[in-house]
Amino acid sequence: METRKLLFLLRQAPYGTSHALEALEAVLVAGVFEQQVAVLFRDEGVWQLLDGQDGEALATRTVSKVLQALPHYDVDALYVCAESLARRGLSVDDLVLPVQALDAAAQNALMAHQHAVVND
Amino acid sequence: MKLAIAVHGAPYSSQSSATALRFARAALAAGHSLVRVFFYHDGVHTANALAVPPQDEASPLPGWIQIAEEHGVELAVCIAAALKRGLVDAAERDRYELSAASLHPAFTLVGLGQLVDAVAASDRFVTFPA
Repeated sequence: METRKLLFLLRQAPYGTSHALEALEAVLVAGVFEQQVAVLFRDEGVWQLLDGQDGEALATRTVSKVLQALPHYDVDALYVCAESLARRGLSVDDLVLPVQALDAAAQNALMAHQHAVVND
Repeated sequence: MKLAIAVHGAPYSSQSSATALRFARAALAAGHSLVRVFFYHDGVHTANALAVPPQDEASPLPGWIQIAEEHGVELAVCIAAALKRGLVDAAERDRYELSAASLHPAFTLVGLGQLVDAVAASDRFVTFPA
């Protein structure tokens, strides 16, 4: 398999559906297959990064714990949409991982440099 | 151009599979090739051979089978997403001692590595969200 620059766009809330966990599985597998993976959290997807989650009450995995495994899969290019954070009253200090906040122009530049953007 | 497609929505509750099928037909008609169609999330329900849709609701399943037969397009279903939703082929039915196989034989159960491979091997990767 060729090594490509792939950006995963994660836009869905961590709980309520299984969507976020399944999308993260694909990110982890891309890391396993040694792709150059970047992740951009946008819209409701920024809630996945919130510190202090516990999925146990919902009998599900804790999404933020899965996120904390990303660096072990060599996935450490993590970005968050600055406007999506601000609209929800969040800042990078509320998040479980060090992520870089990007404005719209920086997100466009990030996407322009990928082989593919994988929408969730 | 080499294209790959991901289908994320279930038929009947989402337009995802039907729209992806129209896109696939149009792409093939325009001379593009399809590396793989990957069914993920609730999109795996597209492959359910046991569904009985009402007569006035079109099923995308025959269309997918047709382009697989006519163009050799690979219809790949994420095995992890499929098993937990009750979509099993004969091998998985036997392995888990289930009463029926529900996956249409035009589809193949594969690992998520095949999604990554489809993205890496194609010029354009197009997702049809739920």
